[in-house]
Amino acid sequence: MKRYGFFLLLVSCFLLLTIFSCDKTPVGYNELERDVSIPVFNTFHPSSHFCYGKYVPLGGADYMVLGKNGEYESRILIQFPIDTLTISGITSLKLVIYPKNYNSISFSIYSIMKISEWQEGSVLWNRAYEGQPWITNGGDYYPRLLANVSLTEDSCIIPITFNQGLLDSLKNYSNGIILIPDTGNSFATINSRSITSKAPKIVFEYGSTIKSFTASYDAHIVNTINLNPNSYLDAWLGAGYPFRTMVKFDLDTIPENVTIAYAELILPIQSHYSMSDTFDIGIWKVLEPDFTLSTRYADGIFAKTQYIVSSDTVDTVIIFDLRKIVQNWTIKPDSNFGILVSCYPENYEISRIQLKIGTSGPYLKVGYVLPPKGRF
Amino acid sequence: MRIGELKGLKIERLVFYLLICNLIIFKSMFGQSFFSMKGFGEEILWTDASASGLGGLVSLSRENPAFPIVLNKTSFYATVLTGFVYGQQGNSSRMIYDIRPLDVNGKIPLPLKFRVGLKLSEIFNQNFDIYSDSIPFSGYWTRRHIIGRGGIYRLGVNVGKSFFNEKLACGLEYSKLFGQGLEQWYFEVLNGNYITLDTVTTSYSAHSLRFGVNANLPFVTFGIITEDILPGIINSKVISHNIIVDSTTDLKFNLPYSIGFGLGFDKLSRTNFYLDVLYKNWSKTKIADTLTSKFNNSMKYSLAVEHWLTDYHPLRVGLRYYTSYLSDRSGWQIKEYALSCGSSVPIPKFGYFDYSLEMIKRQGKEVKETIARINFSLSFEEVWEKRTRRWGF
Repeated sequence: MKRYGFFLLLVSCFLLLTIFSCDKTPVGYNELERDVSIPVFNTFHPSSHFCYGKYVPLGGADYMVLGKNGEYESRILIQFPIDTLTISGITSLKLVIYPKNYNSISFSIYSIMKISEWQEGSVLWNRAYEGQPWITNGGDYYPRLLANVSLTEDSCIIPITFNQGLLDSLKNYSNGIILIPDTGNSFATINSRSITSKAPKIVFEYGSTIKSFTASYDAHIVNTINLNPNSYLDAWLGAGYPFRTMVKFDLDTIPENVTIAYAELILPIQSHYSMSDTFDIGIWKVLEPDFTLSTRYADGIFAKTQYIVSSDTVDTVIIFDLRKIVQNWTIKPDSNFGILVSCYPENYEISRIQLKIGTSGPYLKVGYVLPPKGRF
Repeated sequence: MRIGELKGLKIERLVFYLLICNLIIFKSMFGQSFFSMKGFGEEILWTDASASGLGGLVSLSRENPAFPIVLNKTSFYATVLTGFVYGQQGNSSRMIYDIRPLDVNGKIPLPLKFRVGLKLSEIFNQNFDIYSDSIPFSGYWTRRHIIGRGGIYRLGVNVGKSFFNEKLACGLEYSKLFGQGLEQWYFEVLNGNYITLDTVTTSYSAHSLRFGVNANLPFVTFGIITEDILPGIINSKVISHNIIVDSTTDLKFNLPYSIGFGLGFDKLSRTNFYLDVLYKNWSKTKIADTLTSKFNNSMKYSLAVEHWLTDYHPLRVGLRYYTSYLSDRSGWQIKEYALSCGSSVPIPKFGYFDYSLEMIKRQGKEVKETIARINFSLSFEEVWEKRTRRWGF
């Protein structure tokens, strides 16, 4: 042991001194002989912005919205594969739906007209599918009421009064059913067929025998009432009936080759409406120079953040970290066409944010450092 | 003979206690230099532990291609440096450390008193690690943290020959100088997470010729060494956000020539005295064919005593004064005072183990460094001996 004492002591000293070495004082820093940039901050306000609302297909959503208020109305369309149904011998007919939020909503059920074939992936309030508008916006249905019910439970079993004529109509002369809210000032969400275990079903009873069909297609369609933002004077974001805002910042004053250390997009909130306590907001990169209703933007979302709905919107802001996209714009200034801000995903329930505009509106705060110099 | 049984262990203890005292008194840590980010970095003039223990001999050390005058055995030598630096500037102080290999070399005797050797060693050290003061940044306290790693190295091949019944040796060394420096410039928040990272890479390439003479005269040994570095090139890149934002290609540089002279009074008794001087005309350094005014001519003076306690155990003590080629930011030439000591332990059937401790005070006008540097060198010497045949058995 004595023989190794020297080395043990040496190792102990190394460890002890290593601990002492953890201090991080600026000794020697000003001997660097090379200009080290301090971080520079700039605040940019939008050089242009454009806001618009747009119907988007909602067929892929996990939850369908049913209800209406003074600003929105949402209807649900469901198609069942009942082509092979045997009509004779049916003793009862029920529709089974599984609400996620079961607000008390009164709604009516109608069958959709046979001539108005609709497609889950492209149906909107104003069209049955791409290029094929409804005869009447909001869906074409037969006036004969199948049922009128109130949605109040976790799972809702809706008996439908039927006769042979109605069964024949459902099987051979309709394109599924449509659920239309009657009155009320609220919304409910219903599980769509994407949630397999809670997909809408139609159940036929033949005495003691039961035959059920799960929805083959379903979608909800949303319309707005009295919501008309001005494209140049307003800045709105939304889901269900999406509102999108495109914003561009001129960053010409940022020097070339800088490293972006900080880039935050700050969106001050004027007002909001949402069915949920929280929802997500996303940023997409705009791919074309001019802001119009058809301006292309990148498929992939660039950034997203969660917005928590609070009762007070004063001083509430949404903040995005845009370091990478701003860095990219400094490298390729020609690719700076701006960003598009909207809710994400746009088919998730119904929500809306109205942003402040003008001097108290959106701004981009950028901090950057200049690259170091080499030794020689 | 076991090492623990050697009387020389007392020397080992002495060096050890000196080290401990130094560490306690000066709170020294492993050390790079706080000046390494300047110029070509910290200059390494000698590498082995025995030269280091003698105040940093150059002309009378393995740096001289003519050294030693008599070479009967193949020998290999490897050195590791452990350095502790305690830096002070104003009211701030900081300790940093470094452990790194410094040198590997070998020499093989050839017929007709020729010898050939190979050498790989560090000649400039560019390791550094510095922090800026705190910088307020968007509600956070941030700072710059710059870490440099790398250096310039020598890969040399040398030939030598002894003359006049091994009284004089001459040697010539050709070296390829190559180097790589990597600097990482962090802009970080105080908890250590970095916000940005820029990288500076620098590579060096040059060639050098060294000529040395060692002579064994009746009363003294002397050595002369001179080196001329042929023009070289520097390539440099600055990489920010994964993009090369600045680059320099084939930037020409000319490092200065150097000349050194050493005298050893080693014929007296068991005690030898050494004097060594080395000069480099750094003021003639050219970068991009332009004389640079950044560098000063450097001068190193060493004075040393070596006392052989037994046939195997020397005690070495040296003093050194060195004016660096670098100046601090105020133009003050950086100076270095050093006290060194060292010894050697023979390793049976292998070679010997040299070690040295240097206590160095290096100072500019503002930044002052207290350095404890420990060199360990392991030498292997060929154990083969010519056998005499005994007839009749």
